[in-house]
Amino acid sequence: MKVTKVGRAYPLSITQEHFSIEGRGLVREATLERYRADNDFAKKIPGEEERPHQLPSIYTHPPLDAPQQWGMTVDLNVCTGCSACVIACQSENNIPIVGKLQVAHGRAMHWIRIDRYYASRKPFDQDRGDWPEDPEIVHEPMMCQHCENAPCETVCPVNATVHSEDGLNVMAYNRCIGTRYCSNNCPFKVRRFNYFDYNQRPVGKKKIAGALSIYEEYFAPLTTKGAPDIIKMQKNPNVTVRMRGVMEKCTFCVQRIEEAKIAAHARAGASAETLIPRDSFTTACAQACPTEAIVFGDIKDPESRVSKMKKQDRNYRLLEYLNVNTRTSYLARIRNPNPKMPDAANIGVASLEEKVPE
Amino acid sequence: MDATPAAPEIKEAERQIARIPLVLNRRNFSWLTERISGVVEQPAPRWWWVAFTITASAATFGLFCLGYQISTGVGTWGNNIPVGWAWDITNFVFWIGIGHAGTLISAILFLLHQKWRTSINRSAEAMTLFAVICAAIFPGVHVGRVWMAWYLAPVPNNWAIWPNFRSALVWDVFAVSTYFTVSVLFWYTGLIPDLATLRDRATTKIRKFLFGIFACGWRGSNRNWRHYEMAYLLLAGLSTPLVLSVHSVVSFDFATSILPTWHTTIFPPYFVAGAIFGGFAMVLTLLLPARAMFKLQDVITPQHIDKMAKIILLTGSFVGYAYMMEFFLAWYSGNSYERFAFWNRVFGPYWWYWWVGMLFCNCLSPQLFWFRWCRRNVYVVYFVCMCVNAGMWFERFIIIAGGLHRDFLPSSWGLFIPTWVDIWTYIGTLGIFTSLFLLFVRFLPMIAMSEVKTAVPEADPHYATPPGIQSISPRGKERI
Repeated sequence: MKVTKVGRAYPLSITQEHFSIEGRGLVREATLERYRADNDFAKKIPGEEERPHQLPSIYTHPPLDAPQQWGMTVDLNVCTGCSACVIACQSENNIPIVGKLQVAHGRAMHWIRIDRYYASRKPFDQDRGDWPEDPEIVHEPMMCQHCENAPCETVCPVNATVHSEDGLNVMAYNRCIGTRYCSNNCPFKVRRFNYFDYNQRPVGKKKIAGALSIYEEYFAPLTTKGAPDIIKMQKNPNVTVRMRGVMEKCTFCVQRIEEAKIAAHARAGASAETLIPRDSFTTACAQACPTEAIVFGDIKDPESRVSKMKKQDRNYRLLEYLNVNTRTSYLARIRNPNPKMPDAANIGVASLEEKVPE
Repeated sequence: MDATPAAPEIKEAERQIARIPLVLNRRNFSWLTERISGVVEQPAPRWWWVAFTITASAATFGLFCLGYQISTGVGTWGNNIPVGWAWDITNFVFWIGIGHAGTLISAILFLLHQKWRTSINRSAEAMTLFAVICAAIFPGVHVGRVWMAWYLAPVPNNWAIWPNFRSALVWDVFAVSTYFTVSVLFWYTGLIPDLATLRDRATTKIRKFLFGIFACGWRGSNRNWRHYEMAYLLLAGLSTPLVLSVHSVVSFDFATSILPTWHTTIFPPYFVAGAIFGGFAMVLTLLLPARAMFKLQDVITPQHIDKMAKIILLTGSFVGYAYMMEFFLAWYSGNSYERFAFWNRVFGPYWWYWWVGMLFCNCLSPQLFWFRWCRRNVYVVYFVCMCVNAGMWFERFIIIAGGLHRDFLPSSWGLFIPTWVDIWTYIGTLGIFTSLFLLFVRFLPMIAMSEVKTAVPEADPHYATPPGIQSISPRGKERI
């Protein structure tokens, strides 16, 4: 086999262009050694001290008074970045496929994505064209964090995204007019917008218009409307499909929560035992995760798996300084490289407290 | 008064401190009426048709682009995630900002008894209306489901859902619609005496009928004037807070968010200063050619241009100060996200937008107006105005797309690349704006005749034509 330069560039449709973590403490990682020295290292990442003092709020918050409160943890220690959660979520939630052109335009629709960063012991400036030396790859599944102080909710002019009593940040698709203000104000950029009518119109196929080759979505009003039956049959009947111009995002699989609630109520009959049994169901991403990195459940129940995960000292939340109070938290990654391995020094470096000076 | 002739040095001193008349060459009432009405009454000059053809074609194609975008999806623009707003909201803020100069001239300068406003207020107010029309297009069509945009209005409905009154976009709806309504009323009220003049001079039945309807039976009686002046004063009072409030509310779209570079308390005054800055540049952009084409140099004099240039210098310096303050506060806050965002503004992927648009066009180019020679040279003034027009557009783009494209998580960083639909929609609104302005100068008096007459010496009841000077009043139709 021979590799030769062809002297041409081929544009790749990728969902993430920037691979430097820019020292932002998003993926927190340590070697076992450092973890043993400081069990709370995950909570001491630079930036945390910027959290503002709790001031009296002039906003009234929706009451979080349901008997069960949903939350999630993602254990970065065991996440392998396999993307099974992405596909599980896509099929569970009827997420449209947009084709490579729209992906290249930054319009991928996945509700959960795997953020992938290259970390190296020596800092590098990607903007200047630096490449990381001996990089390790860190993955971080990213989906709606279900902030209790959700920035998306306050800015929506039509009340299309609101909070439920059980702590979900919910979307009312029928109410959404698509101002995209929520996405702009989302610090995690996990909201996805239907820039075209992905469910009703052909997407991602080239159509020749004279000498121009333009993708079919740009001819939308002239194409046939309606999805073929085979596509319709592939959809999850418990989840709606969204039309163009509507914002969508991770719902914590609200259809599964509701299904479980209804079943619990049906089972309860006349009794008061209407709670969903502990850890009896989970989200599609958590269900598909081969390493059980994603754990979903009732954070009000101290015995639930998710509550136990959240009690671990590795537990941390992203962008706490924004005071958004996320319901999803991450468990820091602990690495234990064999010191005899040649690149042992380059493992566990994603959130070094002190970067090695250049 | 001492009637003895003054010594030559006193005469010279008097000449130097004398106020330069606002209407040059001793043009009298009759000349003003003839010349200003003549623009409306005489057939359109050939250049008008050429200009109107071009602008109306651009407007038509722009409307086609809007139709295409509405029927196909917001995806026809370059917007994406993270850049959910780009040229759409940039254009909205750009146009709404331009309107502010009109309101400032018509309301605040009126309350401050700045008589020089009379030569420019009518066209500045018209410009305000047309700019607000262009601005109003964008929030309307940038949404994904245009046909549902009425959800923004507090209409009682069977789901009992109100708009979210915490959202700055809802405040925008109220601010902009109030602004437009008051601006229309103010503009129309000011027009009534002039419409009556046109009615009285009308030579065709249709003109007589239409101007007659819109002049509301104006007879120029003492009673008419008393009511009119009270109404005008009240509307000026109502409009004055709008000069400050509308763009403050527009800035809340950004200031109430949590995004680095958006989340900042400096925005309301910064946006208002920028709006007046950009608005005055647009007033001059429209009036300098109109003044030359319709030979109105005696009414819109170098003095007027000089004063507007000074306002551009003042507000441009405010804007420059606000830019500096933003950088200082980003550094002083110690917040790494803020610091990065401003670093990225200057050295990131959109670096040249900042260097050309914000630094050169907005901060440096108006500094030329420190020099009298520059304020008096129409070509320099026009150059600076064009720089400011472009610079203010760039500024909004830098704030909006520049703030969005790189926020908290580097994984979601992206870029915005405009499509032909983005570009032509913007050009289309330029076409709509200029077409409406061209129609305005053809069908309505572009200078407030009744008001500018108050600024000539004849308006003084004790005025007598000085001996030896003949008042110039060319009767008959002078072809422009």
